[in-house]
Amino acid sequence: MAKKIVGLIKLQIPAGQANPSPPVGPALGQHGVNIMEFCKAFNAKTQDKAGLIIPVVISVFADRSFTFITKTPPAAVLLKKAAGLEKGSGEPNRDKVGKVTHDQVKEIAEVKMPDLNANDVEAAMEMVKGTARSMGIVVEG
Amino acid sequence: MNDKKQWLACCIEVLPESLEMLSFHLFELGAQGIEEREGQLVAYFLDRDTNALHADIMKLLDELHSAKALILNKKIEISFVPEEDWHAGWRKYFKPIFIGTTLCVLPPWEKKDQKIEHHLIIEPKQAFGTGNHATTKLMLAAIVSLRQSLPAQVLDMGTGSGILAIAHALLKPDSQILGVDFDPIAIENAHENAALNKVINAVDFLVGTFADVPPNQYPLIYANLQRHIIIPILPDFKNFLAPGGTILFSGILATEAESMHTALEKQEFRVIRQNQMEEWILLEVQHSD
Repeated sequence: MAKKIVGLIKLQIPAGQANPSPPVGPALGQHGVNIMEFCKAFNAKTQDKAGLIIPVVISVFADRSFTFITKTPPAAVLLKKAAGLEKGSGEPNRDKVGKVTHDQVKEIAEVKMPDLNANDVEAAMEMVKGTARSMGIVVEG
Repeated sequence: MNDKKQWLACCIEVLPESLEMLSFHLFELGAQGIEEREGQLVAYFLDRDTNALHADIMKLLDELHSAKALILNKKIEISFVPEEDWHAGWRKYFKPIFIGTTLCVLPPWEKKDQKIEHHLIIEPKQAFGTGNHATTKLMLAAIVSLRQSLPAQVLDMGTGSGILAIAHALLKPDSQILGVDFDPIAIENAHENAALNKVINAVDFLVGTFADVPPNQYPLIYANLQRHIIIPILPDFKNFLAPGGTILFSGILATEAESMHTALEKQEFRVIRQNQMEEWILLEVQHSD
């Protein structure tokens, strides 16, 4: 069909928990997108990622039909999981709340590569390390 | 007792490199979800005191800023989000579309108009072809104009929601129409719409491309596809077109008309009719063989 994108909506929502409340309802509603249809499709696609925040990009076409792609979870969420933390540090300068290994950073960088503006894994690892610092997580090794 | 939920939208200016990090911390503060806008991030919080939330976020930004974790200008704005029926709000964008008094495309929740001969119900979902786009309207108008001579066998390439195949089936109930789309979600929607319109015996849908269509020659082919998709597969259209048959192409911008005509001529197609709506054109073509 003669698809022409007229709107791009970028959201971050918990996996498997999309519903018509904000941010989904107001963001999609103003574009005339079938909200429940999006919620059903998003929840079905992300139900195996419970507990993770999933960035999603919704493309709206001229006749208000739509499509969407989900992205990899944020590095911070993956770091939190790798370090076994409940929460990141509220004061990352002073409180170090956990540790991750060099290998764990590499693993996260590899997962994030498709969505990062990085030329290679080393550059992606530097980004992940920066995120770790801001969370009060120490990178060992 | 007022049990309405109270939503707060917190808008923060942010550079792209800080977006993911800031998002993470806002979720830690209890955000229910986040919308990313150009240079901004809007986090939604439920049932929170505005002043306390503002203080929490300012403290977070100060801390992240001093830890050199974020580059931002710490400008934040918190506003109430008025509660509304978001579930139903999007529906206001879908109204009945009339093709004369012969055909009306409408969503399932709209009332039928008794003066109209045929009602085509489309549930607006992911598949293109809700009826709202000029290219679909051009195609529907052309199908209606051919109603006295519509053949019983039709191929609909890029069927999307199945809207054109279903329109054909409503106007000529004894037809066999094959709708093809490479998108499985579109085909799922097309099946649902065929059932809504009670034409499942007249239409069949297939996930794929020309390579997947069983060899046949059709007296009429619909193709509401973009020019850059149509041109490379013009030889396939020729192979699947019966001698003396007709193709309706839409999805072509008026500014692309000249290059489309040139491409058609190269493949020995001739244009019988050209219609335009807004910036889009429809071409009715036949092959010279």
